[in-house]
Amino acid sequence: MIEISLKPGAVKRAIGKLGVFLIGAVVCIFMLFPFYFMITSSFKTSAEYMSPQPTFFPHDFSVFGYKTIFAKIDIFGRFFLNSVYVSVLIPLLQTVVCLPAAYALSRLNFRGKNLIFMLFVVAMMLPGQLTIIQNYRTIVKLKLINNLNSLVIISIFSPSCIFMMRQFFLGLPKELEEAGKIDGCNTFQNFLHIVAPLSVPTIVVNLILCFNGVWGDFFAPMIFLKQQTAMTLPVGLTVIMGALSSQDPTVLMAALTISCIPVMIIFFIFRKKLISGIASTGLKL
Amino acid sequence: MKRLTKLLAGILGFAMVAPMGACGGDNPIIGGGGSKELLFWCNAGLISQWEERLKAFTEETGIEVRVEGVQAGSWGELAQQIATSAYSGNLPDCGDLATEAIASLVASDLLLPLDDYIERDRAEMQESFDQMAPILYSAHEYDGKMYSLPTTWNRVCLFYNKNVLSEAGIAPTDPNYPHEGWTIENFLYCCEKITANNVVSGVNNKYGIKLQNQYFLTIEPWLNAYGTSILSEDWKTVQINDGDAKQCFQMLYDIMNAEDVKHQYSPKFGGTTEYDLFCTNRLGFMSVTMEYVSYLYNGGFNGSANDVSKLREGYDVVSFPSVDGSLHSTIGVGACPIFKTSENKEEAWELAKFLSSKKFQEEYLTESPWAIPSIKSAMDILVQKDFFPESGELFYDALQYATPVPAPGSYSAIELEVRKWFGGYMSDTNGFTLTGTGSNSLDSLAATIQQYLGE
Amino acid sequence: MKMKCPKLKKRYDNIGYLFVLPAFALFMIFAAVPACLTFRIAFYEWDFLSPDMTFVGVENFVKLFEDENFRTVIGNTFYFTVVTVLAKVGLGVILANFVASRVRNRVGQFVMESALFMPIVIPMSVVALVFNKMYDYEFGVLNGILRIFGLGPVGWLTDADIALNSVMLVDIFKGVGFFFIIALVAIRNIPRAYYEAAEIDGGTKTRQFFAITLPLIGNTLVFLFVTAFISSFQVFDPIYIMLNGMFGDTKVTISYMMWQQAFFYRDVGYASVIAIVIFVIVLAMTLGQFLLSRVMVKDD
Repeated sequence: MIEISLKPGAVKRAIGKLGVFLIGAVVCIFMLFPFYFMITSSFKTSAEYMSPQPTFFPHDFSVFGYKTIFAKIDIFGRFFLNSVYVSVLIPLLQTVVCLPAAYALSRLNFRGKNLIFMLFVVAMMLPGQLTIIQNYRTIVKLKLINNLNSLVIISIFSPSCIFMMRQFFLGLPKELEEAGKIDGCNTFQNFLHIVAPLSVPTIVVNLILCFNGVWGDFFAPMIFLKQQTAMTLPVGLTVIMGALSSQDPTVLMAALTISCIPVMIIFFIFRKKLISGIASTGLKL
Repeated sequence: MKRLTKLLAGILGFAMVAPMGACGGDNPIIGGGGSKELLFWCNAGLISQWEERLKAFTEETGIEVRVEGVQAGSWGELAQQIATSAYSGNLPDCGDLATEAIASLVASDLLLPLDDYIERDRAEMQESFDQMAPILYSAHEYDGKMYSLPTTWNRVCLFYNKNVLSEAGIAPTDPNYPHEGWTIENFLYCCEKITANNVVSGVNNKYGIKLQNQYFLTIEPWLNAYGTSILSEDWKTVQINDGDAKQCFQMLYDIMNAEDVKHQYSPKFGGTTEYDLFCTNRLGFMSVTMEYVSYLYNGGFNGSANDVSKLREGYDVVSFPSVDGSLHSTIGVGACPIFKTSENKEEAWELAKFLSSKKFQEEYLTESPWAIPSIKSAMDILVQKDFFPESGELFYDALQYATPVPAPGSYSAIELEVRKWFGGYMSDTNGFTLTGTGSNSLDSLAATIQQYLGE
Repeated sequence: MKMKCPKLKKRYDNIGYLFVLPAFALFMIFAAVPACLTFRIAFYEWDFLSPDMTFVGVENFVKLFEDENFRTVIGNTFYFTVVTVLAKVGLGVILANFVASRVRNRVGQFVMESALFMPIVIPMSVVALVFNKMYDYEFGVLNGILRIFGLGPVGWLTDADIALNSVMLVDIFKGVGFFFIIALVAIRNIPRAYYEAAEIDGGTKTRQFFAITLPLIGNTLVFLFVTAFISSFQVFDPIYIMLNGMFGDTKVTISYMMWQQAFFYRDVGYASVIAIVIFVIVLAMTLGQFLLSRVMVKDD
């Protein structure tokens, strides 16, 4: 505030501000352009899309792409529901399985605890390629190929989720449970009634991160889900929609736009939570 | 505290109910289940078309068919994908497959021999069989066993864009104008004329042809044009590295990788499809199969949406050129083979018969043809249609000089090797030529293929 | 107020086993055992289809060393990894510093953060498919824009020399936000006092960045580099979506090759060897980070 009145600096300051604005604008345009392109293209006619001069706003506003999608709703809708199914179920089950494990590894004493934790840390470093072959065999033996539950079952165990929850539990004061003990709670009741309710905010962050990860997962679904009715959005879009829309790119753009809606909603609602979640855990989506 | 209990209960409840919600109804779990619904696989790009066609079958027989797409860039890839699916016990009842894929699947012992079915229903099918050329009827006979009936078949020819040619100043009276029995020199002359104007702007605006990394659509026909083939006639020895073949690859490399835009007759692999280029009058020739007759018709090519006669004014078809003007064509035959694991073999056989029948082909293959009918009478109807190209007869006439596409049992492995080599070689920007390393890499490709063929 | 508990004799909560059991069982079934079995399969020849595996000793490993294609692929992978890691971490940190030190108003911060953060939540397959269309040689918007400026079309995905770089751009686009966010939080956690002191000394912003910011987020930087390396090294989605079958597969990376060998060519033993190579390199990087961060802690 005071500096503004200093005349010699004012011009320099204004130029500096302009420079900051310009750099910021360029970065934002670069980052947002693909999404802008995706959304506007989905409303173009295919003739306009293919015209040699690119248009940055649809001249002939057309919802042909969306109409085509809804005409093929039995295919596209199925992809969407499948994606919803895995992206809701996996985070929930992950929490059910990993929360107690994380609690035990942080707050309870038992032999081999550190060894188990070490093993889980190693599991975090295992590249998916190392386990996929054998997991594929297991899924085939379980007759779960082309079944969404194949993805669920291999994703329930998440070392990163355990790691994150454990960090959180380590930060809780011991006295909480001591008080519970005095009130006559056993370990399980302590966990269920005292510790777990406290960790709800962390659980929510974890659910969101996991939802996001599963929604965009491509490698495992591509291997396990070969049948069209079982495909999730990323695979379905790549495999089926790509082929179906080869004559008309606007259809693909419409499909892509729709498939972004859930993650966009979550992004705008939970932006702060996502940022703090990523920053505190350093876990990549 | 109660909240968490509720949450947990909710999670468990969801976990139990949700699978039914999301997957309920039509059993997506394992293919080929006990229901009377047939599972039919086709290339992912053709799902809508096949759903449309098979409605007629369901109407007539009451047998429901579920069409599913498999993503594959070629028949070899499709066969490969199906073989991998076989490991997971996940196979359809039947599918839309062509010679190349069928050869591989027969070798993997996945298909059902149909001799008994054919004998049983011969009387019923006789009328249709009478209309099938022998080369088509026995296309999928291996070791004396019939694995399918031909539904449709295909040959590769060149679709040429008349607008592009006339713009380039090549009149129909020009000796180089596309005609049956034309030569590669004629073809290259046309390409040069088409791309001549690119030099003005310095960028590629027009192309002669769009080469593709495809065994059946590009590599084999061009080798045929040079008087050779990927494999010898008996499919026992590899020929892809003989002198003619090397000349052929040199030519293909040059027209894609020429230094100046004037001589870049073909765009690089990938990117914009030849169909889009052709429709926007930027491509002289595309080497494709008869399905493009329908694509151009349905896509309203050359403003034909309101006036069908515009179609014939816009394009025509011609056989591939060759070094000496002789006619060659390889053909691939489409069919609906039945998988051994199918639990609905009778229903699948009904479908196979239906697709090969005179009635179906005369009714459906003549409205929006996706390939050449195996039934001659259907073809006779087709050539009368106003949307059919002027020289459309040459599609069926290919049977007079055609040879089956080289597809031994190890086809999918061979195709993968050939396409891999071709893809790498054609995009090698170090000025790859066939005198040095190019020649060597072709020789080692040939050695690999020979291994697959056996000694 | 705080009540110190008397030191209790160490108690064992055996119920802990019950708590860990489900997670541990799943860990064994879907992580530990599969990983170990992959090491076993590497010594066998198998195609998924035949009922038995054939023991071939170290043949698959020998094949790896003789495979020219593998050399190309591993070269591509390191090229891809090094460039994208440097770009992602470098841009992430620079932009984070920019936002933290220059962008003063809240709206600007919100817009910048959101714009950089958004690609993180969008699935890679969507981003890759959109870029696929943008990169189109004839009808792509990028060449369209170049055309407006009279520049020649670029074969983003059709030119063998450029294609991998185009995919790298997509990876950087999608990944930079993650590194930006972590660096931003780290920079914001640096006490203001340091900067105030520097301002009194008359240091420029650039000097502050090198003299204060970078050293103070050193540990975060190491972490960022390693995370970036591991994820870039295993990149699969954009390679599969954008380069599948192009250039005779001479421009792909190691994960793609592993997938192709396993699920396309069904050479399962060979694919296992490639998976092991990926694992060893990832492991080496992680250990490197561990050692490096210990050294750095000692220095402090």
